[in-house]
Amino acid sequence: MGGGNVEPQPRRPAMRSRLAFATIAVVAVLQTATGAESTAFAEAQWNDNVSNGTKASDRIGAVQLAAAGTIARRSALAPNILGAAEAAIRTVTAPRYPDLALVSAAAVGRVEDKLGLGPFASSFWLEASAGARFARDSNRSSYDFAAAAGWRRRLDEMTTVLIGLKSELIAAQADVYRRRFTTLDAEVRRSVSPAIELFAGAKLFRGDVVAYATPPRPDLVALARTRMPVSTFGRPMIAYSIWANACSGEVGAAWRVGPATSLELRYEYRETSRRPLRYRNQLVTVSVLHQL
Amino acid sequence: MRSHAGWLTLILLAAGAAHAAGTDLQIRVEDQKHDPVGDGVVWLVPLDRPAAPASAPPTRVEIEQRGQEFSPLVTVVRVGTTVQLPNRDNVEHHVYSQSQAKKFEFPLYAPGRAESVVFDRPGVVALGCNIHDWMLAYVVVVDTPWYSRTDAAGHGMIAGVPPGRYRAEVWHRRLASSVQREIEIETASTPLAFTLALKPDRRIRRPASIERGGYR
Repeated sequence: MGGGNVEPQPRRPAMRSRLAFATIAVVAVLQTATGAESTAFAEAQWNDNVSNGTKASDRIGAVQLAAAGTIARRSALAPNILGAAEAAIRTVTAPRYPDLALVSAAAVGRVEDKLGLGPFASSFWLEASAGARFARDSNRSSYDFAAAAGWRRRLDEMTTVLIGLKSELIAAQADVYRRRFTTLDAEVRRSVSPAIELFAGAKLFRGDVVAYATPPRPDLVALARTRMPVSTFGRPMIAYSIWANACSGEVGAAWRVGPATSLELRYEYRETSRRPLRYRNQLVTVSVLHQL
Repeated sequence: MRSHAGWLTLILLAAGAAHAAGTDLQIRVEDQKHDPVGDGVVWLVPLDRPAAPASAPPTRVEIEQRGQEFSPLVTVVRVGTTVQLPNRDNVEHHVYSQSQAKKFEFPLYAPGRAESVVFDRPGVVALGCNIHDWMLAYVVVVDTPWYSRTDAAGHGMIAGVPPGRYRAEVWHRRLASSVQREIEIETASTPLAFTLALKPDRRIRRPASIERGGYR
């Protein structure tokens, strides 16, 4: 049933800032060198239940900070069909729980077909990605693969609707962190002023989740595909890998603060269940994106 | 006596030249709230005679792509003018028009490149980018040498309009219905003023969030 105890590793707080700086530097250099389209991204997220605990005593809230950079090169494969190749680097840290820190790199290929000319033509896309995560807790290090498809249509000058389907495989070193899941999401975005956009969306999720609990939890043992003792949250817990369903709703606002910079605030409420397992997450995310 | 005749000849010649050069017609365009309307286009169609032959076209008319916008938003040209469309952005664009007066399409072209279009029929041509839906520009193609685009203060000027009867036509991207008026140009014309009923601005806005991927 999974691996052994996780050995606490020495804290290296300077690593986070070095990684964030390196991410931005690599993207800036690549962008300058190739003239491709690139973005830099920073995010702070509060998750009131990052441990996915089902009991109050196991619910642990945490702030996670992320910095990412992407660089994309587009080309026309045929009239109205775009091909894009993208490279992405992302770092994630959780100041209180360093074992959640990771750096990931991914290559993304995307083909997008717009059915005609003009702003009201629908577009469809297919996307495939492959990448690797290098986690501070090496059990979490993984190879990642994803395939996605989506549809987008502008309903009128102010309103856009998007529907996406994404299937992911996280092939982690430790069995408990190996996850397969599929997400179906729909989102409506509406401009309310030249600089402000509101959005609302819903997601359905089906696949592996990792829930942490203080033993003994025979109910979770009965459900778990595999489990492993961990000290991620500073105390002995068991990580359970469970096949579950989740649904979530989210609302948010985006504010364009400059020609190439936007600020986004997002709230998501998520319920995950597999009887008798049930837990909820509330996530508040503030992100800044800058197009280089 | 001879010198007096010389002066008289000079005065008559100057008066004739001024008459031939025509009047500089001042234009003012405002909306229902009396706020100035910029990027309005006013042109004159002569009713007494055909439009003057095309003067030499400007050496350079261009609409550039920069910062994922077209600039300028509104361009007025005479029939037959070639307009350059340089991409001075750091991303590729897919410029097109579906307007009756001129249909064209330039699939993705890279920064540093330029395409050009000859506008050979009168009418209003809306340019878009098929990737960045908010990118928009208008080319108003007129078959007359007398036209003007208003500035942000709603002012414009048509130089050298010969006396006579004209149909003054107005275009603005938010104009609810066409506006035209018959006018008589004297040697010293009064300013030409229009008050327009404008529709709300429903232009597609640049996304507040910077999305990844292709079409936006």
